[in-house]
Amino acid sequence: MKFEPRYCEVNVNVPTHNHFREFIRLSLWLLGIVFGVYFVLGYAAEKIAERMPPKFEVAIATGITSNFAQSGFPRTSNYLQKILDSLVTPAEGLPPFTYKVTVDDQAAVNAVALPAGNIVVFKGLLSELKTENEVAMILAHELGHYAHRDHLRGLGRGLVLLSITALLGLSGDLPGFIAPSVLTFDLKHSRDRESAADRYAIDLFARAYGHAGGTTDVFKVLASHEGGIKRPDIISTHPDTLWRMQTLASYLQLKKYPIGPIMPLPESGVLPFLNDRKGKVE
Amino acid sequence: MITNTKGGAVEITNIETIPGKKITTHYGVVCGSTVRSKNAFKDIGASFKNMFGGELKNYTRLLEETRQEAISRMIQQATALGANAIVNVRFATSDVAAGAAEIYTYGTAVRVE
Repeated sequence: MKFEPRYCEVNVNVPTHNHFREFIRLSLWLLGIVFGVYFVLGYAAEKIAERMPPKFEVAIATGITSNFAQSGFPRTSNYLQKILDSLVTPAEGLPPFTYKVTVDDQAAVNAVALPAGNIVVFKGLLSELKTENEVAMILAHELGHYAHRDHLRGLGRGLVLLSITALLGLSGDLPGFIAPSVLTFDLKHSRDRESAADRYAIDLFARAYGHAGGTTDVFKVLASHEGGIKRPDIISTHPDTLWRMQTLASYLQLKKYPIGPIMPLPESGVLPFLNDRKGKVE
Repeated sequence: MITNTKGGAVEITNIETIPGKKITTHYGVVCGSTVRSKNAFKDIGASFKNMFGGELKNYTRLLEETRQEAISRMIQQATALGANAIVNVRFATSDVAAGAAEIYTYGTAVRVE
């Protein structure tokens, strides 16, 4: 036997593929999977929202409502609750919940419909409202979301996880990464649903008060808050406020509701009522 | 074990000779290696399997494919050197990272007649 040491010119154990191309390929795969999961969860959330029984909704609500502090404005809350109760009675298609409204001490000009009939109105929005018509319209709009089951769809993909945790009997605390999506809850609503909730609110207001006076005033408040800055519709989940006003004006003409009086707030000034903070005198 | 390659049949054995044949030339050591990682989706399946016990077929298949790849690379090296057999073949494995392992196979490339 002779010994002839030879060496390979090409090392087959070291692949010669393009690392950058490989990185791009894997990144695209990963993106595809992430989007796939995102859309599947979104679809599942829609289906769950359509079929979720009210009892089950009450179970998952605990974890969400715990994120919002108890109202520090008792008189204001009582006033809002009184208006809400007067709206719930004539409302149609509402799930059988006990509807409660609380005031949240945040500057956001917004209100949200949380699961199981818990409405949260932020102080930032309340302080802009000058008439009872505006207050009632805001609450009626949120009730519209309940009637159309938007409040669950708004939870989006977090709802799937919440449902699973509730099914497993885990504590109702909201997982940390879902909380932000709940705080920007309304952003999840599509523009079509917002418009539908607007129309529902007008109808409900008319049934409760016998007229539709001052129902579009609340959008003037929102428009003034936007400061004339118009986001492109494509990235805006709430329809453009001016467009909403025009749409509702034509809806009012179609429905031919009588235009009644503007009802003032029970106390002078703006909401929340002055000196209405637990343990504090403003 | 005889494996056909583009260069013809390459005989592989883990003893020092090919029985009935004579080693005429010794070319040196050849080796094949590949590093494979587990698949995250197969991990999910394996974790379910762990609940009930039994063979983790996905991992069995993964390691078998990895071994075959390492052998194939070793044979490519041997044929490139002009060998028609590899003797004294050994396998080795090492952990490279969490969930990734190397299968390394090496042997002596020879010509037999």
